[in-house]
Amino acid sequence: MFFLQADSTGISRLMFIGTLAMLTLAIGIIVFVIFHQRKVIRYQLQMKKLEGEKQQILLNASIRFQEEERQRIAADLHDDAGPLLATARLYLNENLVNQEKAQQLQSIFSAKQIIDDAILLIRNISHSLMPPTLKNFGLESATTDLFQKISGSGTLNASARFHDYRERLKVDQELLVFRIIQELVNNIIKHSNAGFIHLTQNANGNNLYLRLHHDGKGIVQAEFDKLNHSATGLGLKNIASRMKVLNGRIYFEIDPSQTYYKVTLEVPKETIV
Amino acid sequence: MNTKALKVFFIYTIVLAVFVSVSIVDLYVLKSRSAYIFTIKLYCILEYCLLATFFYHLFQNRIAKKVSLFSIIPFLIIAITSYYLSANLKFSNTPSLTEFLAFIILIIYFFYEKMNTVVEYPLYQSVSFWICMGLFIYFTGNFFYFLFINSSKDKQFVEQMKFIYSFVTICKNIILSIAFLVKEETEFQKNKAFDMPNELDLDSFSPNNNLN
Repeated sequence: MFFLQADSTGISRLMFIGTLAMLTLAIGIIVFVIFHQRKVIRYQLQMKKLEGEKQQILLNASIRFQEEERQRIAADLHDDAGPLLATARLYLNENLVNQEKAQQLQSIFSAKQIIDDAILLIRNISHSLMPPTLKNFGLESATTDLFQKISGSGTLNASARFHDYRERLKVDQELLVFRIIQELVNNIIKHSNAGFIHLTQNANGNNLYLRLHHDGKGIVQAEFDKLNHSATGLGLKNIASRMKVLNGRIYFEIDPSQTYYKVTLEVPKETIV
Repeated sequence: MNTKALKVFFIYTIVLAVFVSVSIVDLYVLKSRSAYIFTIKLYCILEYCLLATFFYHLFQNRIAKKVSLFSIIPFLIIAITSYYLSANLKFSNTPSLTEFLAFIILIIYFFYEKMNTVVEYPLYQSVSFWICMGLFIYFTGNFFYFLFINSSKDKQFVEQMKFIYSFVTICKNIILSIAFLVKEETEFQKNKAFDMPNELDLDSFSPNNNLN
């Protein structure tokens, strides 16, 4: 109140100082906000760079996986199919005509058996590349088939239930989703020591949801992210890169009851027209 | 900046233009000081209502939105009481000071909110930033002017006050002009959290039954 009662010169000075102080304060706040925001943007750019590096790791993992897959197929063909066909050739050599009738029949029978084995082997390799059930009958049948096979082995209880899969996804999408399910199931069988696996499918709007439950030792999202950034965990990197291609999301969690783990996939639907 | 906030601010600029025109008519055509004071009073109330609505549309936080909008009620009570109690030819500075303080706080909150929002382009590339900056300069720069508006009738003092007011108002107008020249970038889309529809049935199985 003293200031308000001061004389005209005093008030004038006070007003100038006050206005100047207020303007300085205002400009100070604005400058601070701008500089702080620039810092945040710089940090974000750095994060983007790291994200790019992560993508590079995923890409490398994907390439490495493809190479390993090729090597496996090459090894299967070279080590299994090659010797089988070579053996069959031995049975059917030029000397066959000079052999006795019984021996000839025995050789032809052996060669036939070996060729049958080779056909089966090549069929298995071909099926591992593109499951015929998936191609002909879709994701639902292929997944149910896979789970029935696992359950049939007697080691663990596996079941799948599709609630809403009236429209099939595009073949590429189905294959990617199937590969992810296969990889997840493989990991569960190999590492989790689970007693059961259950898959539930549902759909909402333009998204397809798949959830895998198992009662073994699983991982949560933080561990998945950590493994994804580490040099190990090629399978998980493949899952992540496939999810990236699908433009979907994956989430690893433990049930609130702490009795089983859940893996949820969200995939934007691209249906066959 | 969202279009609603921009529309409100556009209405505010129209109201401001009308106020300036009416004030000129009051002072130089009608030569009526009471009419001029009435225009100022009316403008002050309108300005508060419009700018509070502008901030309501600008804020992202729900509570801040409500605070901004509902602050109109106490302001109206203060303004109407103050104008009712003051003489016809005297300008009561209480509503203006209340308005200035309220908007200084709201603008500081706006900057705080902007600091906490993830964006990928600089703040000075947004229209809302320049509008708030202009208003911030105006409210902080003229706060002491309105505080001492009724303190002295001394001619030299009045001239100094006019100089400060004019300087700050010109600064505000220049900054607001920049606001309308800024080419705003599109808002950075944040990654959505893994929010699944609640009605989706993905857990309808019994693990115990499954084991048997």
